[in-house]
Amino acid sequence: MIGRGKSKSSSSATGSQSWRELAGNPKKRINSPQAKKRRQVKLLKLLAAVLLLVGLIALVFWLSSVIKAREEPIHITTPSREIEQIIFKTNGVLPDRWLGTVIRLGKGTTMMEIDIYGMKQSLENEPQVISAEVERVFPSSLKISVKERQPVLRIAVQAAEGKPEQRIVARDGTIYKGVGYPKTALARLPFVQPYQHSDGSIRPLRGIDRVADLLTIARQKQPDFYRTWKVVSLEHYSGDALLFGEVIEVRSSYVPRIIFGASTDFDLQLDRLQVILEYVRSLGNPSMERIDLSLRGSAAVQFSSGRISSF
Amino acid sequence: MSESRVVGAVEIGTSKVVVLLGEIIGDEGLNIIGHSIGSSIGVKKGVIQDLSAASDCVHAAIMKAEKNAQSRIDEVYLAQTGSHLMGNFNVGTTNVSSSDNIVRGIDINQAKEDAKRRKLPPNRTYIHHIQNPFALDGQPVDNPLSREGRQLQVGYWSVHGESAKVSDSIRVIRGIDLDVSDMIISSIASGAVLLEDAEKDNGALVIDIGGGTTDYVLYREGYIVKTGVVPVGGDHITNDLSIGLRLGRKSAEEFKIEHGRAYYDSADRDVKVWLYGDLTIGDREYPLAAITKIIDARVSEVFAIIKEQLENAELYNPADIACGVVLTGGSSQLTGIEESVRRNLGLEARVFDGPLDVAAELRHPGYSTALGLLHYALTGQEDRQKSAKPASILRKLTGLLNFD
Repeated sequence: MIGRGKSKSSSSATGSQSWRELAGNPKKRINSPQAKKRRQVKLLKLLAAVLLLVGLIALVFWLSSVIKAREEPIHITTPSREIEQIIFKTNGVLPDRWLGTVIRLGKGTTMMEIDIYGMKQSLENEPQVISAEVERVFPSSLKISVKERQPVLRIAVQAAEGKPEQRIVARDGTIYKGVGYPKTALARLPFVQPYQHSDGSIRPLRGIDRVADLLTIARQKQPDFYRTWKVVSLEHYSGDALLFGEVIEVRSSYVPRIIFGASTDFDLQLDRLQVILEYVRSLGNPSMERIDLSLRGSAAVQFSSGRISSF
Repeated sequence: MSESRVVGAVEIGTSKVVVLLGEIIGDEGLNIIGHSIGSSIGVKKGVIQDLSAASDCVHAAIMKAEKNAQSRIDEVYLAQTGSHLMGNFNVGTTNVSSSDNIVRGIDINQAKEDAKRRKLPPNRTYIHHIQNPFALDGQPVDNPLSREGRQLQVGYWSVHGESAKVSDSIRVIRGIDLDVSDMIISSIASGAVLLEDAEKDNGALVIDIGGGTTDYVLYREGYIVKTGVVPVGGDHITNDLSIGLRLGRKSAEEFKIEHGRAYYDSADRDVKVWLYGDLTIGDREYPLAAITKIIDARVSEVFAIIKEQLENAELYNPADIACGVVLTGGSSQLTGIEESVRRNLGLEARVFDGPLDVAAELRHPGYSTALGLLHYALTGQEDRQKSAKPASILRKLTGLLNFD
């Protein structure tokens, strides 16, 4: 039976003088027509195998490149509801109607159709907005939260028609139109000078944070006197408080010029101012031209009469 | 996953080329998936005379079998026959090396190497070294390892052939870009499938009567002790009839198959047979005795030669061949061949009726050698593992794509 039974005593010869040595000797091949045909078929099949392999590799590369180059967004096939409510939150004064001027949602826009990233960019492009967050609140609400810039000063700029227009200056120097602020609140803000850069353009102002600190402290320490402040002049303030001789000049309805050292402690300067104002009041409120608080270790008051007192 | 290989068993005979394709899955099972038989040209008495003509018909048979199987051959097992094949019995001897006289592996190898050491003339080459039982201090032992003794001996029946003729067979196969994985002489291949282990143990003689040669192998105690090739086969009987009866070869062959008998009986004198039996021109009567006498003479000659060779080797002892003779090969189909064996060799005989685990069309004596080659491809010979070549990357690639 095939494959069964023993073949214990049969051993094909190996080694020296065995037929295997003859098998290893290359001699001229005997060619028969059948062998030629077989060889040709084998060659063709090998060629086909190689071509198939190359084709498969090319197909894999092509598919991978197509997948990589695909720019279409992923289509989500789950049902998406229309936006029914927009929840708008701000830490400032921007009204809901302002939102409608920045983002425009068509009627019937669904939750998944809106581009929340694009919307966030649009909101943050508004100068009054520091940052914005837009999020979908399923099933049908859109929540928009913005963080606004806080007004520090007012500035008068020249509009296209040549008429002056009022703008707001934020703590970071950004100048913006200001939407939603109560008129009374804006009226309490002093103006800033100059309102143009040396090249004539209106740009975000430098060093306004230092000015803002001065105004805040003044508003807290001397609210009544602060209300007389009308103009803050940055004529002698480059924006870098650490530079020598930098001063912030305030013009009030009570004292024409009050000069603060930009690098000196504002608390100390305002305390001196308090002392000076009380002293002047005790003198019967003589008219003053200038109070200079920027001097090191002292302050000087120039009265309209020409007398100068130091403190 | 088991790796499968397709093995081609190729027998280049005098009158026909037989190719069987077997698919071996792992080392566990074999499926015969294709076969073909083609006419053999350029081969005489089992030896290739015309390389080109022989290549044409062998290659055609291989391609036909591959087409039949719809598969390509990975390796070839090739049968070898021809009167150039000869055998020597060599005994290897070694003294047990250890001081305690216990036989170790190194002693066994030493004895084996000593037996195989005999040099052949330059024009001859070994095909088989067939191991016989060991003897330890003259006493036969199956396995001497760890036994105690002083001298270890082992016998080898070494079969060798003419280098040029063996090389020609290999070149024919290599001509179609196939490598010969193993070469087995026809009688050993046939014996592997014809005999049960018990028959080999009890002693049996396998005689493969082919077209141009008659191969035989003698088993005793489970071992092959003698092989031989007689350069006479069925074609010689046909030739004798053709000359003796003045017939064409084709008619003689048909006459042999139709009316031939391997032995002469006195009753044949009174019987006459028609050449064609259809009363056409040329049809005539012949005395059956004339036919049987011619066949008897040739068949008796073959068996007489075998008997003489066995006697010369002191191996002819009917008591040691208890299972008698098993006949195979195309010419074993001759009527009365068993009786002829009884008369000439004094042994009982039976004709190979094919293994039951192959398809009915392969249960023909003409396939026994090729089936035996597949048997060796499946069970393996001792050194097959050592000599097996790894498959080339190219072949594996095309194999993966089912292109080879």
